[in-house]
Amino acid sequence: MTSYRLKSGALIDRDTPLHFTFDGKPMQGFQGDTVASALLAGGQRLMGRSFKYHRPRGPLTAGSAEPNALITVGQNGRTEPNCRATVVELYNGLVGRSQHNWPSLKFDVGEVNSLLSPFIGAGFYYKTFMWPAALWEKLYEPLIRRAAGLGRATFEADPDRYEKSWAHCDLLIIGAGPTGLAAAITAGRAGAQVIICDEQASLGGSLLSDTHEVGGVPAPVFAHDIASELSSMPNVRILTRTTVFGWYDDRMFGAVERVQKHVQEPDPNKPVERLWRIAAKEAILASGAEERPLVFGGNDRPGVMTTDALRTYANRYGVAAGKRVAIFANNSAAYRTAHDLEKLGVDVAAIIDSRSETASYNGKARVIPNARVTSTKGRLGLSGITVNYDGGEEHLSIDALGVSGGWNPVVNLACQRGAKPTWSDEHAAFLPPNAHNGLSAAGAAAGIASLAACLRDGAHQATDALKNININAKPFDAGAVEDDPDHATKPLWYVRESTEKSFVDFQNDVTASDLGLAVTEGYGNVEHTKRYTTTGMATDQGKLSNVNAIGILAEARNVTPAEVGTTTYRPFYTPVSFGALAGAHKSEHFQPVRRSPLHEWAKKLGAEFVEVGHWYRSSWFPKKGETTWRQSVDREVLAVRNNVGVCDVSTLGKIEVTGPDAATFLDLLYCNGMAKLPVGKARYGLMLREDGFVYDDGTLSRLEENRYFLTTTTAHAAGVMSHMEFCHQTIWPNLDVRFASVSDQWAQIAVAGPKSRELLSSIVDDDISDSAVPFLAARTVTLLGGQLSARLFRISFSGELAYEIAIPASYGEAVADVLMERGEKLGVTPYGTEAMGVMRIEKGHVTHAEINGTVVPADLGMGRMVSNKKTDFIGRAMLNREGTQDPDRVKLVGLKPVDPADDFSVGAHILNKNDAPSTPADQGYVTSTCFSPIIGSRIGLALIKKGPERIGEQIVVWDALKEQYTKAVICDPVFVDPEGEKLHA
Amino acid sequence: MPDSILTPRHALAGAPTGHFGTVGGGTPLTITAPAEGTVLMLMSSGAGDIKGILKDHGDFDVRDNGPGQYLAVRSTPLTDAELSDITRKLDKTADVVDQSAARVRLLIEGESVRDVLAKGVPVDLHPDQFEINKSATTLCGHIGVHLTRTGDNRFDILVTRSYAVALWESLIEMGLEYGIDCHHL
Repeated sequence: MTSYRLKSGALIDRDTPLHFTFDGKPMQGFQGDTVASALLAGGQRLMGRSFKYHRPRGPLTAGSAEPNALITVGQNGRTEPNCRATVVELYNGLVGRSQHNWPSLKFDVGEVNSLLSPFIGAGFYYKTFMWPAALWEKLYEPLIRRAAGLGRATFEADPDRYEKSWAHCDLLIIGAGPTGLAAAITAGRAGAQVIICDEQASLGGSLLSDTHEVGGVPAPVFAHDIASELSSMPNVRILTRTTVFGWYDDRMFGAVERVQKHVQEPDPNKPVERLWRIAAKEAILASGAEERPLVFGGNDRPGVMTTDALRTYANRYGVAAGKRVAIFANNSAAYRTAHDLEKLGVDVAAIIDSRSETASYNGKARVIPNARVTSTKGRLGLSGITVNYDGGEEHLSIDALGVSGGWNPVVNLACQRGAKPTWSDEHAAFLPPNAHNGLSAAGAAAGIASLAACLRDGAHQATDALKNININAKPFDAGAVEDDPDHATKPLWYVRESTEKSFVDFQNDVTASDLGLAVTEGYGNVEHTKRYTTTGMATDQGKLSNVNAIGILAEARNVTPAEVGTTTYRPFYTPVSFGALAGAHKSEHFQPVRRSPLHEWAKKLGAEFVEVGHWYRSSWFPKKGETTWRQSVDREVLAVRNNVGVCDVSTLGKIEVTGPDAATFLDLLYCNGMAKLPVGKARYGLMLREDGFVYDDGTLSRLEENRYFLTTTTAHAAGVMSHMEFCHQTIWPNLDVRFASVSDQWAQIAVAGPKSRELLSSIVDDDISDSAVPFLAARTVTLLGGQLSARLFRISFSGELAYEIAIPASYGEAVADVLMERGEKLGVTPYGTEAMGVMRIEKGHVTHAEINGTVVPADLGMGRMVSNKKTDFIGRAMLNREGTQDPDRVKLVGLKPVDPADDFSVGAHILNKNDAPSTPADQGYVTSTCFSPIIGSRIGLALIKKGPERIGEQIVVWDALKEQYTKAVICDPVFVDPEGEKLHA
Repeated sequence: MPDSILTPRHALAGAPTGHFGTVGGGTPLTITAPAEGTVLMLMSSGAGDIKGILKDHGDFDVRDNGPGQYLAVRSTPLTDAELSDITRKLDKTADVVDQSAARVRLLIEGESVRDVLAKGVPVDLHPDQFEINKSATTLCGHIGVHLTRTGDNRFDILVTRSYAVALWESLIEMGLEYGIDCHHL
């Protein structure tokens, strides 16, 4: 005896057969089937193995809360483990595999775990693997991790596309069952912008499994009619196959749409999944209610499922879960399933009601009051049950059992922001919290059981929600609704008479006795119980088990379920793929690439690029025959020092500052004096943070009386701009000053070397002699016969006679080309950031390697730059703290190895000559290092205690990573042209 | 020495062009990047009729760019003399900063334009919320953009030059579902 396809009826398309395989076995289903319904139709009740005991399992539900029927779908890069067979839509060619078994699903060696169950109960690994402690990390944990997990992820790249999208609406409706549809049609007809989401492929929810009549037509027809009207409304967006998985700040909801998970070959132009971020003005939670299983011995055999699942498989998919069926319930609503099954010709052996007062039933099935199922039989599928009732015990031969322990409103989303659900004795369930905050629970999600009442509630909740945003709506009237008169329920948390394993959490194999053990051992708090027993964990997050677990805990602790309370609800409602979360931002689109206006110029000269934040900067320009980057960099450095080089410095942050108070503002922003900077001059500037530590450095040029041009480091371009806005808006809003980022407006080229003036003279129309453009001059000039205006700054990072020329970005490449062309006879060489780095170290110039958030100006030898005349500037107050004045602070110096052949690295620590490495012995650390082709050895900059007082002292550079000790000498940080003769040439 | 003629390079030179994605199924989306025109950032410094002052300088479209800030946009390029003239005329009204080379203009148009932009832009672009001539400084994916509605199904995007190619490639990706034609001039 087993499950089978009913001969007629249901919502599947029997004219469209679909072929698929399960564990390599060819199977057939129909369009409209899920994998689970098609497998059941083919007599395959066994679909998986349980997590801990490897027990045979079949589907417990027909929906997204499924804990058992987890399978792997797809092949190669499209392999997706842990798919719920109960929601995976069938398509032609689908390849499904069972998981978590060896060698086969039918015969799984792991089943031996069941025999070991007395030793591996709740919390066993906390007790068992304590000794010897050393084995935990090396043996126990790796073994447990290998044994754990269900399906296996593929290592092949996912070939499909994913994306994200934003959506906005007046009213978001989560769930398209009777409540959601009534809400949507109410809002849609009122002209509101509506989004309705449902995790299934069609709108209708429970209506699609229902045989009641609504408005004079069968429930599925009613659902279809409403869906048709909604789809004709331009103001309504219908998102099917979409799960709203999270409620975030304000009224932001996250949802995932499975766009092409139901097709064999996805269209490459469309994503397979789309992550929606929905901003709603109001939202209605119409997520319905989930039927609880009952906890009794052997309640997990394939063939035992919720009555709702039995009914859905029969009415919607045309599948009978068995030839002879029984119902075990603690409520009246479950009787409906017996009625529907009998109508479809399925033999219903009995309705086993745990209550003494049963509901009225007109069918053939025998109703047994005050009864409980105590055990089940069958190795790979249900073959019989034992029923215990007043006055006796009875064995029933059946192959399917519908169980119903009452209904849990699906309150998850309403509780994700911290509000707790409230226990209702009347409903024997937790109801959504009362807090509104823009999300109203409606219908079954709010504890309403009757179909007619759900339809009414959906319509009224929509009307109320729209009223909050000043939209008038008329509640939808569904007309006459057939309904079940009796929805009474009486809690039955577990069957005490059972001696077999009684599963509470099917996915984690947590039994009623595990929960009892947790209470006995002091883990009775619901959050402790969860962690101690693992109940409510894993992919289903306890959707079916949590309330039963709470009921059992309550009985064990002799308190009410309200006092036990629930664990914490968090996104995601159901699992969301990493692909959907990443969206399109992967591979080359992982983050945007930022290109300099000279990117193509550098590319055609063969530059190697390095990623600096989003920027791609040219780092060196290899020439034919050069086999290492050092060869290129050494050549570039020597070319600049001896002739002239051209470097792209466009990535520096550039900010224009205007307004009559610009000078005052900038004087407050920098720690050195800026108020008296004359028009036409540039000055090096140091910005501090409020705490007195150096924040950023750059140059400030005064272009006009009230117009300045400020440069920042590449890294802090945006940060400095924000810092300036903050200072202006919050500290000195009285100052009449404005800022504009011009980082992208100007291509900026450094022209450096003894022949730089000669090279620039060939393109600049103006006189740029030393007297006309002295060191730190800032001028507007024209180029090439007045073709273009440019800004010329005589500033130098290399220590050479040097300039930076700024031209509108679109002309950057053209000007750089002309410089290369006209500089050919001067030996012009393009150089990259590596050569620039070498030259700035040779010159003792600092970057963020030294400005690392721990240094004050004096640490960098810039103490005298700090103005003692200004009454205020950012960082002034805190700069005078005792700690920043400590004479023992680390200060900037240079370093050279005693043996020029020796090496040391950035980050290596400094030790006194005879000291062993230790924290107290630490004298400082290397901040920057390079090979200097000018000095002929490695050189470095370092922050060393009392560094400038120790020039000439021999120390040891200790590199813990390389286990390297290098003898070195502390020296002046300026290795090249200490007098600045080149600079001022 | 022979004169060298300086020719500007379009920020999108070398970026992919042509049709991408779905073929057929209605009018595809189009993205066009016109030749560099003028973009001026105007930062209010006093009362004054910016539009009135600019009206002698061609067909400037003045767009909101945050409190007290505007972007004046037109298709034709700017000369140094004109920049000086505009700066002088706006002296008591707004400080002028030339952003013509800094901002790349992308025109995106088509029936599906809202759905495509929604893949990156968090702003509600429903015409009731974002009418023609309305602007927003916002994000498109990870890239900052200045967005203006110029028609029922037409938007202007101003993006900083260094991100223009990255945004262009993103927009192509976003438009694949509907089919997208891309051109730069």
